[in-house]
Amino acid sequence: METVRLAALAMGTRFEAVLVGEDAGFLRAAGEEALELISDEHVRLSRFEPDSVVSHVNRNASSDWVGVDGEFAELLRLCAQAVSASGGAFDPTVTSSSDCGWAGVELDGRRIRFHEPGLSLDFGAIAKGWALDLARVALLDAGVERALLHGGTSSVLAIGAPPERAGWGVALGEKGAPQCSLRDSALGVSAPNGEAGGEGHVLDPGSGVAANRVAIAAVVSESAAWADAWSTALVVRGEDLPLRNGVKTAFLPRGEALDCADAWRLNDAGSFQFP
Amino acid sequence: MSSTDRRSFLKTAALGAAATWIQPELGALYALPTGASLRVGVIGCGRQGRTILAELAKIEGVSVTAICDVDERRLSSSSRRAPEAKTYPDHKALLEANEVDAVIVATPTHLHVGPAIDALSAGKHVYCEAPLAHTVEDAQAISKAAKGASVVFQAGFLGRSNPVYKLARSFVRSGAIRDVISMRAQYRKKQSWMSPSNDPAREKLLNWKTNPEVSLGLAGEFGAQQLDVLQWFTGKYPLAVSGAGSVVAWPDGRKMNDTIVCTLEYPGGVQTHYEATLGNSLGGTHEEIFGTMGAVRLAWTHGWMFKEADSATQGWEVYANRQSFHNDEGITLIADATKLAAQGKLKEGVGLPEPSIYYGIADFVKSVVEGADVATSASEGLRATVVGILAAQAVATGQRVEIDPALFEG
Repeated sequence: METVRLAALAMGTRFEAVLVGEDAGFLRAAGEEALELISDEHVRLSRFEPDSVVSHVNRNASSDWVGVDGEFAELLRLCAQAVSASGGAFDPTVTSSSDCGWAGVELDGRRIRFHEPGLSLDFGAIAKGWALDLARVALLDAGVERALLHGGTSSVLAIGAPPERAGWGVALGEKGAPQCSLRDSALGVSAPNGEAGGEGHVLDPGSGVAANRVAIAAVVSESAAWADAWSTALVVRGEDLPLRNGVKTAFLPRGEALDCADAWRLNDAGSFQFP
Repeated sequence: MSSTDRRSFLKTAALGAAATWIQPELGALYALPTGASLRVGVIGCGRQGRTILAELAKIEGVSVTAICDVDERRLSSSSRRAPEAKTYPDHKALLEANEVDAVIVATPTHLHVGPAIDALSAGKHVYCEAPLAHTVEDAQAISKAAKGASVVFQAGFLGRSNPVYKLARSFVRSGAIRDVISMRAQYRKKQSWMSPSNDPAREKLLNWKTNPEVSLGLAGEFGAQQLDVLQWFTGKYPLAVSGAGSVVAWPDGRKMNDTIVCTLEYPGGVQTHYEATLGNSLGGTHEEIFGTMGAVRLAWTHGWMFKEADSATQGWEVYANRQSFHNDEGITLIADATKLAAQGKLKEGVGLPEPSIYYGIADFVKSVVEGADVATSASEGLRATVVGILAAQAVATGQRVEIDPALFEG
């Protein structure tokens, strides 16, 4: 068995890929293709790149309908589902006047427009997972059977498991932190403070203030994009947000120990259905 | 090189202090005239084909009605970007269905010739990716077919459509860097150029770029595109090219060089140094033109001008946006800068607002729908392709290759 490790900088963080298999050359090529796809998604989805599709939409959708490709429209529909399922706790918009948000976005097939001036899309809470989901399709197509990919450690995607192991072990933080085991599933982790610490970087779309209900939220789902979106929603709403749609989640209310024994039951990973 | 030679290297007179700042329009979003529509087919759905599908979706009035690829997986992943398009395993069936007005040929380079010529024969407008072909014969055949057709043919050399490059060119052509003394371009990316597949037939199909029988390697795949920028800026084509290459980054048994250098000789003694590698990414992809009063660096989404200390200062430089590179300071080339500066939004103009490929595709659509001048004609595409092919030959053989201008006629 050979192990190949690759990395790429995208979406303001470092993506890493570990691939295990028989042929190192094949694994490297497959891993490169997956990371290339992730870099392409960075180019498409970063609102800090002026030539991204997101920036194109943000510049133009306030004045008129803007056409987007089918894959981008898929992401918009997924966002609409996550906004709806989370009661607005996940909201991929930023706005100068805080009371509109996603409600100011209108979708029509492969077209989008904004009904509020100053509204713009920000896929920061879902783009890493979305890119990992696309990478998974490419890796499975290529024939990769064992791989772990992550973006900035907060979005993790597992294909198969390491040899003679039940799954890829992932710790939620420092040594001694709770662990989960991933196999053909994805993990999304959100925390109010992120790695940088200080003032919370996850804002409650309802109030616009920094979320502080939970210390960390982790979600396992078949879809890395969904795990990303849902973990963000949990940081905002914490325990108020019911477990739903079969997504097993673990989150740590402030000051309490994390007990996620139930959350990581492997037979639940991958059972998630979109609402 | 005499002073007179250097001066005549650029056809336009050097205006020095009197240089005017000609501003091409910032490629504002292109939309078809009201009521107009265009049905487009994309032939070849690899990474470039997928990128093009996303750009086509931005242009209102354009619908992608057909996509084509011999590889089923690529076809299905591209369907996600163009869900309404019919899918075809080969371009002949796509053309026979007759549901497109125009096609984009984005197959591997050595497979451009079939779809391009067949589409032209079928009366379809054609955008053909750069370089046009991997042999001079094929490139000439495409160019000849395009010239004999009554439809639009655009070669995908994108510098000629790029708003930042158009602005930079207007500076260079009006003498802002005075006499051109040398040029340099590089392509650097850490990437093995291998595509994965467990199926040997599919692997051979996908890994055409490392196959010397059909691939021009770095000199052709990227060099042709980048060298065309220099040719377009100066109006000069090289007389000869020397090169060398080796496999140093990926010694996996491949025959295609992963690291190359070329030197191109132009009339009047000007030389271009080109280097490309798949082993390191520093500096990425850019082209540089050095003149006696300044230099320009072009990096596709961005461009800068660097001035010599003794060059005259223009009025607009006072409010120009600048960027530091170690000991040098570049003036950021911003399309529409005067307007943006007046609005206090100069910084927002840094970097192209759309990807470079968007402007090439939008130019093509505009030529088809409105009869606008073609951004890169078949003749220009042929010349740029021939330079890339001969540069690849120089690298592969290690020999100096003279470029017979007769090859540019096809």
